[in-house]
Order: sequence, then structure tokens, then C-alpha cells
Amino acid sequence: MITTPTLLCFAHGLEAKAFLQNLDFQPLGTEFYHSTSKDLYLSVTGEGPLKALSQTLQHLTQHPRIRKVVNMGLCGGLSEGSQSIGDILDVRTIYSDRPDDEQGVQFHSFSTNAESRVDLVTAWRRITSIEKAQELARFAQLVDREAWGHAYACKQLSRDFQCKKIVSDFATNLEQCFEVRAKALEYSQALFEHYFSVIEPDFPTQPPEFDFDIKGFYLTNQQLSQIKKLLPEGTKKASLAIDTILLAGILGSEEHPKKRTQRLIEALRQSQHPLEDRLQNQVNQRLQPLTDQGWTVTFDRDLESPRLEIKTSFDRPEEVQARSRALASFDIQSWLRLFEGELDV
Amino acid sequence: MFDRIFIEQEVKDLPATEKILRTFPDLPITEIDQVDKVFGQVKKPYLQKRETLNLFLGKKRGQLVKEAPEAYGAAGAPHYYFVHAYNCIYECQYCYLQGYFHSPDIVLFLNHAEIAEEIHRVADQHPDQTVWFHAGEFSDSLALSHLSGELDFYFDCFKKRPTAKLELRTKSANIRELLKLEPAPNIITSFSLSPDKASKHFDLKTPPLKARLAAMKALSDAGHPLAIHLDPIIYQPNFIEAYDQMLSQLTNQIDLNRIQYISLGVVRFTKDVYREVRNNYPQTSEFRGNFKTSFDGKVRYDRPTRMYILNQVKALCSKYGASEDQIYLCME
Repeated sequence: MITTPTLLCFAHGLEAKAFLQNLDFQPLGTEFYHSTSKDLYLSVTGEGPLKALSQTLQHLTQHPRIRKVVNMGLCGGLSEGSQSIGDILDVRTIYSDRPDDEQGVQFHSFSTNAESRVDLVTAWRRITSIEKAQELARFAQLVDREAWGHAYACKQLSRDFQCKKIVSDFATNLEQCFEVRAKALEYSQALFEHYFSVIEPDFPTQPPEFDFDIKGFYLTNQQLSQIKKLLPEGTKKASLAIDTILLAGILGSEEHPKKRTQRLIEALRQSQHPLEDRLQNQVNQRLQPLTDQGWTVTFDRDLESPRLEIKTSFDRPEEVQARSRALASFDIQSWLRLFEGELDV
Repeated sequence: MFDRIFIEQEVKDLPATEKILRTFPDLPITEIDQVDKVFGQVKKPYLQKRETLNLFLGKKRGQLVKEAPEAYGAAGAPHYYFVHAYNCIYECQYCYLQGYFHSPDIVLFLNHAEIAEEIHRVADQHPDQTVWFHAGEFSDSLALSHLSGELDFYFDCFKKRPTAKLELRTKSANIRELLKLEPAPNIITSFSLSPDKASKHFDLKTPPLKARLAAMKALSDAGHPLAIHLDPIIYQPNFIEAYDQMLSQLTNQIDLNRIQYISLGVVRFTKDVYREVRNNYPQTSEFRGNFKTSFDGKVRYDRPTRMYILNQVKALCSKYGASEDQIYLCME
């Protein structure tokens, strides 16, 4: 059972046929299906990147539980010799060739997590000349009509994206089109078998989430998010990323679990940015004579400029005297020296 | 090293092109009109350089010599840079090239005669001053010098122009071509150095510190003027000890008095580059916190931190014998 709800996208019904025939897909809309047993969605988007983009955006918006999109289908090879007809290839980076763009192949590209070295360019119009195919061959080995649209939609909505293509013909041989139609069902079956032997077993059984798997702490959601940000990116289990000596020290205390959490966050922050923490202390220390006497001090929070703005209000003459004394004795040189790098570290 | 070679028709018959092609006899070659028509036309992911890298050979067009930004080099002299290559075979995590071009592919420009002509034209505009020309703004000056083969050309150019200075910036230890050339007092090879551990961590695929120091020693012994860039310095809790150790290793081999200048700079990024760096190296915690948008829109540490770091490293340089006027702060 696949636990990551996944949308399979095809351009043409023939490419999807083996999936529709072999699984319990039920229609949810026009050319849009769901298989309960596999928790797979399937969309036949039609040809061209705009259709691919709009259909994928629509399905992902209407079914936000879909976390992953796999675009499968036929593609053309751009240089004979490096691939063969019938090869099923994992696509690494997808470019777009938009004909109304004077620059030719479009700037934005999308990368999948594929470890392959095969790139693909999505053509906005059918390739009708060998010259055009040769031009595109400078950027990628494969050409299709949809993948860029799917990838764009996934990027916009932060969904995982995978692209698997079967080479059906070569754009340098424009005669092959009829053979492709004849073989479409065979290719669909090959994609179906490939999907369930290669792609599906790679799916994680659970979406990767950050787990604070340490007892003795009480965390709000906000604190959980803070801790996650303070740990190396991609950390799945807090227990594997937090220093054990630090943990033992905090857990050994008699403090309330809420207080421990606060201490842990503080300690993680200090260990990640030790200088920043000390700098903050020194800023506070230098301004304390003013703030203690009731001055409100405003300064550049980015600490780029030493400019200070201070203001106060008072009701009694003693307050005027106390604040004046504080202002007169404020060590402005010490403040300025801080910006010349004089940190007591 | 490369997967494909793209050659501009205009340079395909140059001896330099033929020499490069002889080095890669089995690579597929595609002829193109102009490098710019293919290179950077699509956003090729930077880290793809680890797997597939193309080589472009062409002619540099447009402005061949450009004025360097303020505080780029030692104060009091005009500074320019010229571009004879794009991109680098190394993979430094902080490198601005990852957000500058839209492709990590290597481009070698082969119209050196035109570039040299422009260098002379610019130098003529400053008859009473020493003008600096820097190579290696968009590439490493030495890393591919055995392949690109332009060093002797620029040596000739600057030997004819003793009032102008040429700086070759590098992280490489590839000094084979340089050692074949007669040293010139106005041609300075400057090495970017970081402590060994920091270099292994941040400067991926670059030669280790030991190799760079050995290269410096060999060049120094051969009489080539040298300079050092301690740039970018990246804050790590033990950075003072690390720089102390590195300077000790350096001065064991070369007297700092023989170094023409030492530039110090703290890591900095444009906003676009910072985004790319975070995206390409999400595990590098040193690029996560304590970065602010500073006076020139670049992303840096706050000013007290920068100045603290620079003061500390400057003091270490003095400890190892550098004089005040040997040191300048880069981009501060």
C-alpha cells in the first residue's frame, strides 16, 4: 500500500492505458481518476505544457493531500546514439523551449531528485524540423511536450516531482511518428511494469517528518519549529542531532519540562551562533545605563550603523535629574568601539 | 572532466583551440555561432557541475576590461579586471559564481590579443598612476592554465607595460605553466588561503592548504612576486587558533615580508547568491545565522562581528611579521 498520495500524469490516454486497465481507477472528473487500493490519482492532461500546468495545478489545489506527482509518458530522443528506443529514463533537469520567447530555450528550469544525467526540454510546439531538434540538443538529450508544466506546478505548490520517460522516437527522424502510435500500448505496459517494480518500492512508507523523540521536555508547536530550525537541515530525529552532554545536563536538572525546553532552545542557539549571542549581551550591557533610568533606546537592529535614538517622558523633577545624569555619563565611546570590533570575547 | 565541447565558429581554427581539442580527442564537439546563444540560456543547476560539465570556447565580446568595485584592491590606485574565462572547476560553498551565471559550465575566451589591446588602452588613460588589472574575477587564474595556455601571452603584455600591474588570483596549486615563465616584478600571483579544516569544509575540490603553500614556496623561490587573500574569512568558534596555525605554517615556508600585500575580507554574498548558497548547501550551519543585509545591500555579518573578525586576523598577521601597509581590507 502506497501511503504517499501520488498523482500520475500522462499526456495521452494511450500512455495511461495499462494503468487504467490494471488498477481499480474510478473517475473523479474528466480524465481524472483515483485508485483506492493504491491511493494513486491519475490525470490525462492533454498535450502541451499549458494543459499540463493547468491540470496539475487544478488537481493539486483540489486535492491538497496529494504530496507527489510523477509524470510518465513518451518522449523523443534528441541525439541518436546516447539513448535507444524503449529506454525508460529518469529525468534530472527539465528546461522549457517557449517559441514566443526571443531567448529561445526558457530560463527557468526544474530539477528532480533523480541521480541520472539525463535532461529534458519541454517543447511548446511540436518539433517539425531537424534544425530545431539540433538546437534543443545543445541543452538536453530528451524532448517532450509536458514535463515542464508539471514541474512548474509542483514547484509552485511545494510538491515532490518525478519524471520518467520512455524514448519512443528520435526528433532527428521525423518519419517515426506512425510507429509510435502503433507501439503506444506496448510503451504504456512497459511504464506500468517499471512503475511497480522500480518507482513504487522507492516511495517512503511515511512522509518524512521531524520527530522530537526525547522525553522530559514539554514543547509547544512554535518551540518544536524553533528547535527544528536550530538543528541541521533535514534532521529527522532530534535525539540524533543534539549533543548528548548538553542533553544530559538539561535533563539532569529538577526544572519543569517547559523550562527545560526554553533552556534547550537557548543552548542550541548559543552553540550555533556563539558570537551573536555574546554580541547581543554586550549591546544590552552598554545600553543598560540608559534603559535602567527609563530612556527608550532605538538602534539599528542589523548593527550596521552605530546611530542611536533615545527618548523619554517624565512627570517628576527627580526623573529629569536621574535621566540627565544617566545620559551625561553614558559611555558613547564604548558604544562606538563596539562597531569597530571591540568585543570582549 | 568535460562531457561536451561547444566551439564558436570564429575561434575554431585558432592554434589555442586546436591545442585544447587535442587534449580531449574523444569529446563530442558542437559548433555554435556565439557562446552567449547557448551558455546561460537555461538555468542549469549549479551542482550539476559535479556530474556533467561542458566546455565552451569562444570570443569575449562587449566590455573586455571593467572597472573593479570600490575597495576591491589596495587603496589609492585604479583597479580593473579583465575576463578571459567564466566559471571554475572548484566548488567553494560561498562562491558567488553560483548565483552569477546561470550555468556552471566552463567558458574559455581565446581572443587574448583584443583583451590585451584593451588593457593597454585603459592603462593609457592613467599615465601617471600604477594601474592594476586583475584576472580571475570569474574563474581561477591558474586552475586550468595548462589547458587554456594564455599565461605567456599576458606575461608578454605586462612585461611591455611595467607601470601596470597584473594580479593572478588563484586557489590552485597548478603552477606548472607559471614556472616556465620568467618572473616579472609587476605580475603578482595571489593565493586565497583558509585554514586547513575550513578549506576542506568550504572549498570543495580545491588543493589542500599544504599543496597551496608548497606552490607558493616554489613560485617564491623562482622569484615570482606573491600576494595573499585571507578572504573570505568565515566565522567559526576556533577561527583565531585556526588562522594562527595557518599563518604559522605559511611563515615556516615564506617570510611575510616577501608577500606584496595581504587582503582580508569577511564572507559576503549578494542576496541572490545567498539564496543559492542556502539552497545548494543546506547542511552548512555556518551560513545560516547572524547574516544581515549591510550598507551596500550585500548579506554579511553585522558590523561589530566583521570588524572583530578582521581585527583578530589582522593582529595575527602582524604577529607573524606583516607590516601595517601590507594589509588592506577588501570590500569594507
